[in-house]
Amino acid sequence: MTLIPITQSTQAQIGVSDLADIQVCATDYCDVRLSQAKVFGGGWELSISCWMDGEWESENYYGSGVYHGSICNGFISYQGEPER
Amino acid sequence: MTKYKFVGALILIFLLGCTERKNRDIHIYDINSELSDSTIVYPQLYEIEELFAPAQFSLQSNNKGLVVTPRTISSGYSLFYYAHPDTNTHFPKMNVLMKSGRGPGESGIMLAGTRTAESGSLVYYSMGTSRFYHYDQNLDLIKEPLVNAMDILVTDNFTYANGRYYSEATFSEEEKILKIYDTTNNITKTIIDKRIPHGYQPAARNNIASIISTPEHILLALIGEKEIMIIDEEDRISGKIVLGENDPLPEPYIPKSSEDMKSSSKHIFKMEYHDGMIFVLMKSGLTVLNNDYEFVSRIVFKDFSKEKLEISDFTINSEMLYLRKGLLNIYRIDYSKIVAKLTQS
Repeated sequence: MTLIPITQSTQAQIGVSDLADIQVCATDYCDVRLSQAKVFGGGWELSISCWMDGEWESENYYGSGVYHGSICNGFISYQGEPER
Repeated sequence: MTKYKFVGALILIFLLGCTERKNRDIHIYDINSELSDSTIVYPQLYEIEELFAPAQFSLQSNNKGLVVTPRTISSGYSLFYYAHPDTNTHFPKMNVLMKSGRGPGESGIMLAGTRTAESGSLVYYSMGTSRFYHYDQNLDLIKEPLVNAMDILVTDNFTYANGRYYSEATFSEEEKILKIYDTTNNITKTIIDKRIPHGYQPAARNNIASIISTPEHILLALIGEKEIMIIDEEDRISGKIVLGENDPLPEPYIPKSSEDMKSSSKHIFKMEYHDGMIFVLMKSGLTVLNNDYEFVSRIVFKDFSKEKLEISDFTINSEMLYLRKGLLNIYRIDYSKIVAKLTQS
């Protein structure tokens, strides 16, 4: 399953919805948000926030390229190098 | 004569510099030592039909009802509310506020919500439509401005006050955390230095834990910190509310593997402004401050078997205090009982 379909748009085609995207997923304990810039290099930010033992714990990841994996397990899992 | 004019100019510049430094003094409200006192409250379990998510998404409310977002958008709606019930009501009726879709009067998933201090409006943001949705005290939709993602892009916590949206700077290589978009003049600015440089870990230390508006200020708490920044109308940090020591900042690093990643703690779970008071939820309980940022009380919640309730989220209004125990259950208690407890403090 492709995690991040990076798309490129020309300036003329850029609309509000083409600038960025966000995928949100919740598990029993964690909130996972994948924010993706579709233009300007297509970088992404993955934010994970989990409720554990009466506290919130957070992690953030940055990256670019395409990873094959899933965001809905409370963590990002990927194999090999990202496609570019 | 010229020499004297030059000396006079230097003295004037020096005095102006001193005045500017004095005006930039940050007021510190240290209430850490008062947090040892607490009062116990016993809320009731409140059973609602629909669970909500994302997991850390905030409850919102006003005097009309409790507003939640559904777990999945496929359920056909993106926002609904439960009217404040009678104390004996179980499984109250769910009222739809917004349906999901791209047509008029529809929205995509609501990513975040907030309540304004100026009018008690509830404001939500949907990425799918790039709109903010403002609801008044009757939960009537009063406006839904379209905002270009280049001006401000909400992916998590945000707040709104006096025509200005405040949210995390996203996709930006600027070394700032908070982005402010002023709808009155279409000007965007960023403030608050990042704790960790872009691209390094622990990047979560640049995230907002909670942000709210009060009648006079914006209050901002970051992940890993127990100090709440007070931001004035000139977008300067004019004060800090100290509820403990911030976690030390580690040396920024680039992880070689997932094992290198270290989590950061969110100490300030959530803040709300209501009835001239500021409510701050932490692991230790709900701390209440007055409008001058002075300690009023700290409330700890227990169920009727005297077991402490671990509260992950809350929302308060003039009818009810709603609490989220863990991620699954909602508890509630009449606001009048909270006021009575605070009066005893």
